[in-house]
Amino acid sequence: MTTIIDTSIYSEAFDNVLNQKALSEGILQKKQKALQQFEQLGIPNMKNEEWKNTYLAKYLKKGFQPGLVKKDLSKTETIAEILPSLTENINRIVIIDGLFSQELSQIHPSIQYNIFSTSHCWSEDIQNANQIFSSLTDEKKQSLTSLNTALSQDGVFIEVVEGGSAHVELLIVQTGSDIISMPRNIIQVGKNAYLNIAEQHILIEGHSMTNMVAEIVMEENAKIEWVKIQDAGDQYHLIDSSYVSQKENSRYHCTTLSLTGDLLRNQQYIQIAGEQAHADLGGIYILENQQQADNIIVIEHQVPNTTSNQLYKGILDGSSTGVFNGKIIVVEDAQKTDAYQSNKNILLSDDAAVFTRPQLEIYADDVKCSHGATSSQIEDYESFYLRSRGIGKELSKALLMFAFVADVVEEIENTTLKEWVKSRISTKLKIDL
Amino acid sequence: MSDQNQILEDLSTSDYKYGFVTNIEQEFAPKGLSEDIVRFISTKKEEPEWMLEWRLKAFREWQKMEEPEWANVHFPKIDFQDIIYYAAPKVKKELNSLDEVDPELLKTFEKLGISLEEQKRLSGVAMDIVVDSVSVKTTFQKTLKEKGIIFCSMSDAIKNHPDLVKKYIGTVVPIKDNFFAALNSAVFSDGSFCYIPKGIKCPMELSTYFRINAAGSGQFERTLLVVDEGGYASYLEGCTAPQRDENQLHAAVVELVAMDDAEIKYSTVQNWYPGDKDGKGGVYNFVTKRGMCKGKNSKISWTQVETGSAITWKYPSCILAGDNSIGEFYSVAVTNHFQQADTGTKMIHIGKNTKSRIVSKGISIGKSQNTYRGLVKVHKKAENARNFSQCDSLLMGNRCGAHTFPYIEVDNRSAKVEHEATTSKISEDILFYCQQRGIDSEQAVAMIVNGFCKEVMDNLPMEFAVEARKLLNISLEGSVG
Repeated sequence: MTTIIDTSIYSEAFDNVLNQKALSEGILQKKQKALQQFEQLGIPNMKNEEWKNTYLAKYLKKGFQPGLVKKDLSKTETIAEILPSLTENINRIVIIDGLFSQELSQIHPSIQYNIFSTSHCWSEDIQNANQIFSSLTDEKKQSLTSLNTALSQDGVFIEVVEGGSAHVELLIVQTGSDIISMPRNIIQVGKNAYLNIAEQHILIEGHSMTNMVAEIVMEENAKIEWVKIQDAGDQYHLIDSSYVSQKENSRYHCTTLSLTGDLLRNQQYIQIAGEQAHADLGGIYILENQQQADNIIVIEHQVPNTTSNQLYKGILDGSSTGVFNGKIIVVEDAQKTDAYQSNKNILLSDDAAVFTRPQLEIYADDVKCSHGATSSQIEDYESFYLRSRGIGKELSKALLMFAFVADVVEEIENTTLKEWVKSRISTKLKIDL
Repeated sequence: MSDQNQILEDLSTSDYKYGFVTNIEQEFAPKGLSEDIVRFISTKKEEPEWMLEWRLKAFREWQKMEEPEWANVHFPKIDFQDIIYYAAPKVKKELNSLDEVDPELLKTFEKLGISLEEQKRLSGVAMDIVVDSVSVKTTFQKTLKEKGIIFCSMSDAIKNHPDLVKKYIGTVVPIKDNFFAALNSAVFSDGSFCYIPKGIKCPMELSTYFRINAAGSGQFERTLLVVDEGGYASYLEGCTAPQRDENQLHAAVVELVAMDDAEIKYSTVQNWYPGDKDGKGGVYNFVTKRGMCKGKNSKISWTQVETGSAITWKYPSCILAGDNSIGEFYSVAVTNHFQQADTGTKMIHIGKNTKSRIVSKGISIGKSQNTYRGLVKVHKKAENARNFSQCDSLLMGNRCGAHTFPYIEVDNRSAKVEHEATTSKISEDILFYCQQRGIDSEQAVAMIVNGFCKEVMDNLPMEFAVEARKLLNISLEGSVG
């Protein structure tokens, strides 16, 4: 189970990617450094504690290779038909196979924000973006993130200026090629600024793997609300890593809804570096078949008076697997930290499995930290209550499952996003709200 | 607040009370470890051929292994060639009464507050006293013998009950299990062996007092406890070690086997030398403890109070293989000064309707690090498994750490697994509440800590509970009036 994967193909891919576009010296150095780090770390195997329950090699063996993605405009029209209809006043960003699509994206000009493709930032030397690039990911030593840093060709840079606000719809489209696409997103939210993102993944045909990385910098009083819906079918593989740095009084709220996918791995590394800042992470995974969803969270409280909350709920059917690996780190002198962590699971079948590791690493004394984890099935008396009131077996089960995950949904402040998540869950559970 | 600081100050500077050295003549093996040393130990102990083979097999496995580094503890690398693997007091003839025991040794026990006579007369506790790895005196053998209970040192067991030892040794902790278990299997010097036959409820608490004595000698105990169908045994293990500058390594293995309807209660009070307040010296305690609930309706319960050792690395576990079997783990770990503890449990649910309960309380003081690490695993076939885990940490002082790493792996939908943990300091509100009612802050802290640990303390056998409270008080010295 500890297949060693040859990393030489990645190094070769690197040369190809580099040859394509002139990159500034600084970016090039960062990419070279990342490639070295990746070569050192290798592809994670199951001996790696964070990958203990995830057999990555199994997915890579399906033929996914790194490589140079070329823009294929012939598919634009077909893709355009599949995309959800446009909502007014919302910026649409479409990333196809890791490349920013100018044709399908729709950005409303505004003084409140700037949205560019990452490759544009690299070639035009956009200072803000390039400074953030690789600044948060470097020390975390995640090999797949290093790979993304080295091989990424494009992505999106969103900057919300001081006091501004932006609404973004982020569509990650995969055409189904064998290439692992590596979108790299950079997000900067200025003082008192607000950003909300509705993210969705779409797979056109065949199978596909995405190794996406986002670096997110939040200034004082900045606020982000981000909803990620992962429902691109069982041929879809996703490794999504977010690196967040929070300054004073900022609010980061991210909710992940994992519905279908062969492997859906969400990694969030959050540094709370400003007092009164708060991070709120929610997650729902409703899985069946062979699906696997991982949620890896590391929240580091670096200064006093900060708070964080993690709430993850899973319903596992078929032979699906749920992995929760949450860690709260409170460094020395980060007093008055309040951090909570909860992971609850329902197993619906005998073949489903859950692996949960809620961890606390605390080096300060005046803190309140707690975690809880449970696993069980739907109780007979619960469904009996509903059935004795004339509700059918299937529906009562679905209602109970909906109620089980509802508190994660209720945490979402933005009503549009909340309704969106609700409707996706009810469709999945086949209930008509 | 200043009162409280004073208490913390007192409490984190109080010294280890049980540090003294007994001067008894010792017989040493040369330093270092090789096949020859393993043979030397085996010959010294007049062991049969199969035992030597078993040791050598373990030694060869050990050579292939690497020292594990995953635990959340930090210490200079151990030079395994700089340890004396065998040290025995030069007591050649068999002892019949306490008068024949070295008076120095008896004094040692008196200092520890466990006068042997008193123990014999008042508490009716059978003591298998181990000083530096070799059994010196076994009492109450006769009473036990009448019931058919075998309670003797491991070396006697190898000589007199080879079939039983051969049948069970290494079945719960295989020689390849881990680095320290393999090392122990190769060089274990002595330990206790106990066999409770079918349907026998052991009428008294079985107890062993371990002491590490000679400087630079590691102690490698091997304990094997087998309770046959319908039997019951309660076993007490307690430790104190004299003050030394040199780090001492302790890598014990404890194996428990419970057959159908059998019950084992294993209680430990561990108070080895934790090093002085600058973190110098102290015992390294790397122990493999595991119980196997082999039969139906069997039960194994671990209770531990850990206040000593510079480094504790220990996970008393239960393999719940029999249907309806029950595993329990109750633990209090107190760390002070520069102590590091990485402790917890594993509950492996294999049989149907198995239950487990984990209650772990960690108290960190001074600059110490206290870690709970546990695993609850429910196998696919373990229908209706039930687990409840609770791990609470109390932090006293702003330079200590409390960490929790629980692993929960569930492969069966009918399992109900709950885990909860909290970390906090003694809240101002609670202290204020006590003070407002005329209890000074020192007493208040003691009360709160005692309350915090109560659930675990209540699970100790009465004979031990007194000693455990005494130890807790020493650890919290300055706060108890």
